[in-house]
Amino acid sequence: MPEASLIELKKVSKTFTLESGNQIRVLENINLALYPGEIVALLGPSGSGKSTCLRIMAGLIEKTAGEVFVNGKPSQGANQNVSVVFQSFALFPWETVFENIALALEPLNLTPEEVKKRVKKVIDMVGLEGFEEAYPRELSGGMKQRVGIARALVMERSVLLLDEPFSALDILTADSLRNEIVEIFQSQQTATRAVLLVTHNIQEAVYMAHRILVMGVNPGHIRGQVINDLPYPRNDSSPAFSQMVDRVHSLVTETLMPDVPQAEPGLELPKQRLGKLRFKFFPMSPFPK
Amino acid sequence: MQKVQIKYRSLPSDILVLALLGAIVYALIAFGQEWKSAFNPSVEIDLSISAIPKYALFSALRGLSAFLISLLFTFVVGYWAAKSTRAEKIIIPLLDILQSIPVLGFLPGLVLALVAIFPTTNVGLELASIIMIFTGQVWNMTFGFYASIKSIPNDFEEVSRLVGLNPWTKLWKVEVPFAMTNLIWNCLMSLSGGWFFLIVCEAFTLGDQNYRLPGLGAYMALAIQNNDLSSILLGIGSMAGLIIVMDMLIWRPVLAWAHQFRLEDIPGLTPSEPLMNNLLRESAILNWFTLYLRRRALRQKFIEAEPVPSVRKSPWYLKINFFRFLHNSFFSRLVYGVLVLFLGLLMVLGASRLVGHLVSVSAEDWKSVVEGTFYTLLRVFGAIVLGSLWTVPTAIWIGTNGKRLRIAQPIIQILASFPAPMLYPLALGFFLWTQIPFSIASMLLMLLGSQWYILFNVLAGAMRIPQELDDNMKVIGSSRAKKWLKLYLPSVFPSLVSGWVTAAGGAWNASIVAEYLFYEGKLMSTPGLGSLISQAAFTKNFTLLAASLTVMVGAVVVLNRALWAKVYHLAQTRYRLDF
Repeated sequence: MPEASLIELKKVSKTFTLESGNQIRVLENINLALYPGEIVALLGPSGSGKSTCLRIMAGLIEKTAGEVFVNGKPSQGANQNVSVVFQSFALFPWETVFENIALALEPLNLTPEEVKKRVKKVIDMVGLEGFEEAYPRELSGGMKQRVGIARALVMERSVLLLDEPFSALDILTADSLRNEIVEIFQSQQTATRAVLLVTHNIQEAVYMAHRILVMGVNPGHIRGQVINDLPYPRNDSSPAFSQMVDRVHSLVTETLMPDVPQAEPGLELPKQRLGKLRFKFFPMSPFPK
Repeated sequence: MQKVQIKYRSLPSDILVLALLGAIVYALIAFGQEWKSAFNPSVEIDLSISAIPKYALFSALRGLSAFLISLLFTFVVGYWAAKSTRAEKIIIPLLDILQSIPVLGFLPGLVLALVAIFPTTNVGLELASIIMIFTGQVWNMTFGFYASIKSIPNDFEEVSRLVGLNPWTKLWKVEVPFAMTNLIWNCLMSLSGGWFFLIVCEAFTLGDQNYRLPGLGAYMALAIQNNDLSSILLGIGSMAGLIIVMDMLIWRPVLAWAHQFRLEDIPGLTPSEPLMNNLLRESAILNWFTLYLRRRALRQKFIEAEPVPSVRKSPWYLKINFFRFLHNSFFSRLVYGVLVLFLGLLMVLGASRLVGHLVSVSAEDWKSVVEGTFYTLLRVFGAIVLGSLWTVPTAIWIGTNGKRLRIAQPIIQILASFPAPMLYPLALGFFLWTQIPFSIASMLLMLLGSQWYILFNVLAGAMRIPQELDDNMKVIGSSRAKKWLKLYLPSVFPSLVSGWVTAAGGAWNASIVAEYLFYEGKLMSTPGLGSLISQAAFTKNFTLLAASLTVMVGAVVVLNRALWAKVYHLAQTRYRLDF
């Protein structure tokens, strides 16, 4: 029995209509699934529709064709099982750190005490102690994104979607935040059961993800998949890491892909996941024929 | 344990707080009596100085009452237009037409109807006056609020949807805070916009009946009529005083409070602690009172301390779910249908009566309306060109420097709030003394009120010129002239266009009082659409009023659609500072 997917896109396409009336195809025939316990990276150049893909998974925009399944059921409208961390942080400048995080609990109608308890928990988790009363404009980019992460975690939703969360940050800050997200996820102290990372940074994808889906442009489509079984915590200066980066790099830069891409030699699923994952919705198989 | 001692410089603050309280109580009681008193269309206006405080309070109360209605209208109608595409299609064009109807267009109908409803008390007349002031305030505020809600950044939209905020929470946590800065500036401008026609709203003639309400506007009207220079100066001084007091009591504290809602930091625009807040903080009476309230709340909390459930009860307004009701339901369609039907009927009725009036307009009247439109059009454009000549350089000079901005901003704000028609007698006296003919002087009078719109808008644009672009010009070593030509003027162009649009609207409106006015006890008028409207309204000539109003509304709407929309589009696409 394959484990049930948390979110699944089947043959999803998206077309935008421009002001001029012209239509552009942003996504074509996207099949992907997110399973419990994994971090999946959606890797691609700008314009490949990665963010659109993420927003369709979150139910923030409507697909043009295809189906979205949440916990195996067809889904409509905003997906109440996901939280999103935005590239631009998307914090409300008129609310303090505490209020920004507490806003995410608003629909639950909790008592102030309960809100305080839950917010404090995530504030401790992401290292924002002492900044509760600060306004976003008083924080550095890294601290702002910590608020964004805390707000996503406090909602206690099963899927965490990261929309290029580190692109606006400096390298050092981004490094430590990547590490922390992986640690928080693996500590299993949160409700998060799977993470989808949208990025154009190969190292980032290799550093964080179990699976890397490489996207191509015009229209956006999934070109292939790399299973990344390097053990955590990953060391980005190890030869194995560089090898993995090279492999993904070659997949990304390859301009021509066969329609049914050959699986890459030596690519194997992590042992414990074998049999759990089915790739029938993928145009390519991760298993060597 | 060391006891913390807090010292209040309390006496002056306490006196101020008590004086304020006293003034409010007195004003409310006196105003209530004025409302209840027997119908007296034309009260005796006392030109002595001792009468002024009462008149100022009455005018302030009228302005504030109208303002509260405007605020309510703004929230309901602006929100509705922003949220429902169906409502938007009706509300926005309707507002566009309504805002181009000058106050005199509402005056005769309103007054006659309300006086007929309340024949024995002053309620009808007072209400008519308040509603007339309301029509000078509200449209701008509603448009601004609507536009703000429509322009909420996508990020905020997405967060709200992900979190699953209900429309009520979203309104107060996301939409209103986002719109706040804009809304408050709009309120400030609108309140003074409402006072623009204060003289007309408190003292007017319909046919052979004179109407006068106790207030600063009526005081000024009488002073002008009597050609009593010292009273005119006194009236101007009290109006200025009223505006400064309102600024200190209301706008400074509100602006300081609203500072937390800013989306960007603009150097120089950090408000200093308002005097009002300082005084209030130092007042022992107020401190004692807030302390008492806090103690009570704390005691309540301890007494009622019981295990609380972790989920609080959903408040009643969420259960009613008015907002979902507004969006999509059978009821919303029903309400919408009834509303459309009602509005449709009203419009058909109004249109048929309007047409009835219009067909009976004589060819001679049409000729004077067409000629008048031409003259007034020339004046409007002349005023805008002349106004731009001085306001654009001044606004850029001030807006690009934080220090200048900090000094100039409150001064300009007060100057702009002053209702220009009160200055007309003095200004006109000066223009006539310099041998300027009245037909041109009335253009300058129109300029007096509308130039501030250009100044304010350009100022707002100049504040937002990115420092990097300025620095870059310095690094290149550009000359001053080049900097103005290549950076400043293009950057402020979009805001200049918005300024022009509002200034043109203001100038059309001002033509009513600038082309037809009392000076040195006698009536002065010059051919123009404004003077036709004034003359028609005051002589109860409804056919001429209908004709000239229709033409003015038509002219403003057509100009907005045909000319300003095109220029605005160019400004937005070509000169937008967007990165």
